[in-house]
Amino acid sequence: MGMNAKDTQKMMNDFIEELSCCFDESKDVTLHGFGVFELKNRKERIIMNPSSGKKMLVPPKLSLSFKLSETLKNKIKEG
Amino acid sequence: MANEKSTIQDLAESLAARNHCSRTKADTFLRKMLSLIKNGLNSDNFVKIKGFGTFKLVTVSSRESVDVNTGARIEIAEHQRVLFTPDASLKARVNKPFEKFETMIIDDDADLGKLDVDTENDKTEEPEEDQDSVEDIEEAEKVAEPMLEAKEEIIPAEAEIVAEEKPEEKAQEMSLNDNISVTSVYLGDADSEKEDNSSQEVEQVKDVAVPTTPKSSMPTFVVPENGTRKGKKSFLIICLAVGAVVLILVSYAAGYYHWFVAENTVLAKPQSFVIKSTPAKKVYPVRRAFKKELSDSSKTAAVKSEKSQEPSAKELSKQYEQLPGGRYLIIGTLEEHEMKATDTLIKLSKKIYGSKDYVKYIIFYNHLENPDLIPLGTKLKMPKLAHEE
Repeated sequence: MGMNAKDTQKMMNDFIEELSCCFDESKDVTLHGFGVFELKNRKERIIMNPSSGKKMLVPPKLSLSFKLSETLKNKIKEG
Repeated sequence: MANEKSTIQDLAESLAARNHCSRTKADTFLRKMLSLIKNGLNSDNFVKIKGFGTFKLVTVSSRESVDVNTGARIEIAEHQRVLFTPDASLKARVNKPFEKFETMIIDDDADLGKLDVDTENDKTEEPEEDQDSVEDIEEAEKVAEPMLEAKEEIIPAEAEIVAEEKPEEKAQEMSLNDNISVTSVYLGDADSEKEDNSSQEVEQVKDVAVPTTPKSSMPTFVVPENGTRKGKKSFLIICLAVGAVVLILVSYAAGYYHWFVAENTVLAKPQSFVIKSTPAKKVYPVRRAFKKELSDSSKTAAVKSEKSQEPSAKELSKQYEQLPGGRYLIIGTLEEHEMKATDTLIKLSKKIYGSKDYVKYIIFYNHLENPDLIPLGTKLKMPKLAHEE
């Protein structure tokens, strides 16, 4: 593409920043032919530490999930 | 939750704007980069992008499963799948709206039977809080001067209360589980409650300030009759200085106290006063008493004794068959549940008890011979559990 390493680095950082901005606005990001980055809302839950037997309340959180697109999945399957 | 979607085109557009280059350039860059990741996955099984995350190709070994439609056993062949683990920085950024929350330990004696009672208590939380704050003001007037010491007393007491508080929080959570979709609403509530608390705190500081000033200024009015003019003036200055220092100290203590409370819970402050006025061991009976009548200590005692007369979990448990080796005792039926097509035992257990670990109690209590195959419409009794002492 005729870009040097520095430019590429900058572009990459911008790309990550751009993605983060999308997540800030709680948008999903679909990269066609690659996959989907989705924000998932995990509810709060109560867990028990098996070793100490203590119950703990885990707060709700947002997590990022990635789902591979079907086409790429098939490609990987074929090797 | 998220409905809006961004595609490569959207991304390329904003990327181009950010980088001052043409859209096509940004677009080709994105596509090249994605294909680079794909190639990396194919060749190395592992692609790490700093500041973003790691793509990893893992091999899933073959396993047996059941066809959902036919019920026949099938084998899922060995295959590969891509895992994505976001980088810590990205993870934190995504979770920004919830970053304030932390995992906390719940006290062991918070057994589920108690929680039901507390859920009811929580419903009347708001008016109660008002009552308590009214009391706060009264109390603040009474103890205007010793307030400083009192506050310092409260802080250690606070540590104990926090432990008692947590079951209550759990109760809130439990009630939430009943209407699952309210999570975000709850968050809003929590925030507003916190704000309430802080505003109350501010009020309190004012309360403290009001009573102290009259008291410290009172002597200044008395003194002129006794002393000379000069002495009066210096005494006035000393009194004012002392008053100012007391004010500063009190507000400092209040600020420190607020800082201490805000992290933990919403209701801590009113309760700390409750505890101070009546040295009760348990918070709940006291709270209940306050609901009926403000600061009626005789009633508090009555409710307390009532509570102690209730049969213990161990006695109750004798009436029921117990799960051998279970950590909890079955002490009754919590509720009945009719099985619907979408219900699973694990879902039920999670909804009612907060963890799938309680499935075994449900199975045991209902004498389910084949827990994997429960006919539609079966009425299951949910056991009421108490912690084994």
